[in-house]
Amino acid sequence: MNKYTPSSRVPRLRLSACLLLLSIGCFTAFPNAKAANGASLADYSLEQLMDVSVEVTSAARKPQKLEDAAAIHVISAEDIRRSGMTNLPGLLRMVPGLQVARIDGSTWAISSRGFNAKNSDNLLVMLDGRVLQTPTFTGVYWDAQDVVLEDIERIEVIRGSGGALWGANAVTGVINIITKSAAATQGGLASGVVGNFEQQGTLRYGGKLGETGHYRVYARNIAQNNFRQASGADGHDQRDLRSAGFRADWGLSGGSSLTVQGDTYDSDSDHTGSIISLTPPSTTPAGYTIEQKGGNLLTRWKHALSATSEWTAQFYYDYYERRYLNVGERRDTYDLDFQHRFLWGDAHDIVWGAGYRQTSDQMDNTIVVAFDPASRSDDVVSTFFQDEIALNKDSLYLIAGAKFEHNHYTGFEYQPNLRLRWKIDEHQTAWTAVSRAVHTPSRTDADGRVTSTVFPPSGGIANVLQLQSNPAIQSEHVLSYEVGYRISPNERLQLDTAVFYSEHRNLMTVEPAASYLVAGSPVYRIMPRVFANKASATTQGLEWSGNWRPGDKWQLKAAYSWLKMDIRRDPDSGDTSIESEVGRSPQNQFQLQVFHSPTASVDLSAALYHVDSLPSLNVPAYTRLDARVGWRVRRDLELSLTGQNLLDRSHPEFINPSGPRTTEIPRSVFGAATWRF
Amino acid sequence: MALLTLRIASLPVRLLCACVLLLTLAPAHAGPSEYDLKAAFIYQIAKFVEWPPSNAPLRLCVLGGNPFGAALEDIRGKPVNERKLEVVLLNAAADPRECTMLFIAAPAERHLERIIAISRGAGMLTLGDTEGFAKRGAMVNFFLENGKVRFEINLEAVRQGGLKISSKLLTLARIVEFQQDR
Repeated sequence: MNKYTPSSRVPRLRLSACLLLLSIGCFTAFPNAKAANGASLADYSLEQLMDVSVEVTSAARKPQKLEDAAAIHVISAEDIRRSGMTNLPGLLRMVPGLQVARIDGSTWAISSRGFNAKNSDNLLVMLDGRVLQTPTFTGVYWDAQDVVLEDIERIEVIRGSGGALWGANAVTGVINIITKSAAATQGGLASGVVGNFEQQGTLRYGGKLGETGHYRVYARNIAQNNFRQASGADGHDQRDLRSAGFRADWGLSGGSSLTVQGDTYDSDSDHTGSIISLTPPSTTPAGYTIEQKGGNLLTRWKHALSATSEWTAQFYYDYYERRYLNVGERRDTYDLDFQHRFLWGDAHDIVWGAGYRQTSDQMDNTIVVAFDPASRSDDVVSTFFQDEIALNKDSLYLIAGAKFEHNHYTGFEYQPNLRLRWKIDEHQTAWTAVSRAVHTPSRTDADGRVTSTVFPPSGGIANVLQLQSNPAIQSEHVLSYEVGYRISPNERLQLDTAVFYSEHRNLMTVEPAASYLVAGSPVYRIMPRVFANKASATTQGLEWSGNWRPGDKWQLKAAYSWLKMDIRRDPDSGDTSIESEVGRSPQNQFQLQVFHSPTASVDLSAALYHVDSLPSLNVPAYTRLDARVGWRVRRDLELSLTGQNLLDRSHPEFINPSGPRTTEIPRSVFGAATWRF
Repeated sequence: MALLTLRIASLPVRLLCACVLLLTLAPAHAGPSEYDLKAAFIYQIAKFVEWPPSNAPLRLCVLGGNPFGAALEDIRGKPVNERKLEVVLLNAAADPRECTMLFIAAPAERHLERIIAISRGAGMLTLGDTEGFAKRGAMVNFFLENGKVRFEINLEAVRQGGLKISSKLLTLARIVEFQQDR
């Protein structure tokens, strides 16, 4: 009777609750992979498995971040698309800590960690493993470089010495431009850019090659109008570059991959300079056109031996001819490179390799530029070794490596480095490095004669200032100390800081030597300035960058870099201008990029760059604002409108001290369309 | 009556005790672990692949640690058609060509490109559970959707590997292609 009294209903409720809990309890006993009826999960059919809910132990597994013990920055294909930049040097502006300045429409000054100049020669630049620096001056002829930007997979930029892996002339940085495999660029692409200063057109098509291969071919034309000088006069710096090329990739059975690629190009770029004459007027400002034609063919064979071991063999041939006025050069380079990577035991990740490069040139000697000998062939033999040692698995790694090479100018060179990477926890990594790198003399340093100025005749005899090579010139070398720290408190925020201190020794100077008369009509006096190694420098700096995604529709990137250079010439050096190189690289640089996607098909971006003044060149600090609106009209069609340099009509970014004109970088607006078919 | 009351009272008490005990023992979650399920999936998927003829055991290798834990024991030794499933934790430096199926766990991501190169024409099924693996060439890649395990298949990678997958498996999968510039 009193069964239904409240007192007895409590146990009943408990009973049913318990039965319920018990059934859940049984279900929670599932981790033993036994179903409630005792059957194993493994006996479930696929359809049954699809219905089982799991306890989610972690978020979606994402590929692990590349961990490096170096100041590395990667520009992704997405960064390139959203930047609105239309040329390679422009893309490099977004790399924290690089010095990127446009001198005029056809000339750039690009460096890393200081020493910026029109002919910067400390930065190694490679495109798919092919070196873009020319041995003529160990810098890059930026006016003749172009890539289909849509085909770039990523650009890896390492600030600091890369000599231990990459060899000579990777003194203050390495830029590695890596294009997509042909398999990733199938189908057609047509894109065009039309703006107040530039026009571009690109056609690319990719298809299959038999069962295992893919190819793409492209043709591209970029044209850019003259900028203006500060006075409003024509800058005489237009350029026009036509290129075509291909890439084919085969994924062969058994772990091999084969890549064959090649390009051919023809570039005309206008520059300004002076025509010098022994009779008055000694110096006449003049515009001229540099024509560069070139081509290359590269083949790479990669073979995986196991999950951790592979070798790569690469061969390329590259040639170019560069001519202006009566000055000209032709260069042919053959490069063979082999490397092998493997795990040795549990703790050693080893890479070693060997390379051979032969480069030969033919110079057209004139009174202005002459080489002795006029034609020269050089080869460089190199080998490197690197071991990444796991001192404490998953947390502490020591990377020790060195490159040894032999060249015709300075003989044997060694470039060791020692790096330590410490993964403090899931969110933080610290690293430190000590490295030595060398800058080997260029052909100009060792064999060249360049007449830079003719002073009006005094007493009937013209005085000619001539830069003269020094066959005994030695390598410059640098010892760098670096410390870096990366923290990613959560998936949406990454912060990266690096500080460095570098000691440069044996820096090249130009030393006055005794003048002498040269017989001729008329007779003139040479005032030689001879290359020597009579300066040293210290550079120190800090590079900070942050990347924050506050929501799925927003992304902010910020970077700040500070650089302090100190150059000292030796007591016996008469080079009075070397110290002014300090004031050619900005001390402070700041940038902020904001990306917003209000809808899935619209991208808005804005980038603000602030670059400090260049006191040696009288270039004031400037602030540059770029903005872009992109609209994916359809899956296969994207339209965009970009404005660059929006804050003022024009301003200078850098001045070539040897050039007579100062061109300013103008505000520009352009529309772009990309159609994929 | 008193006895009955006692029995009525004691049953809930005992059940309650059992419940408390079970709840304490059982981990506080609502289903089998993710990797129990993925292991079961791998075993079932093996049955829907047309393997090159062989009488040797069908060897499942796991590279990059063992995210499955004890779940591998539940499928070890089970029959796949006429063959027996063998499970091996693969040392990264070992030759993966001996594997019939190779599961690439997230920590082995840096080896992915080499494994995919090796898998071409090798009759070896590559599997993973890391975002983007299938687009990069892993044949079967697990992902989670609304608390359930799903998988994507890169058909071109399967073809390059010299394997065929039954259409039944394909109907349950999300089909993906190699990463394209789109």
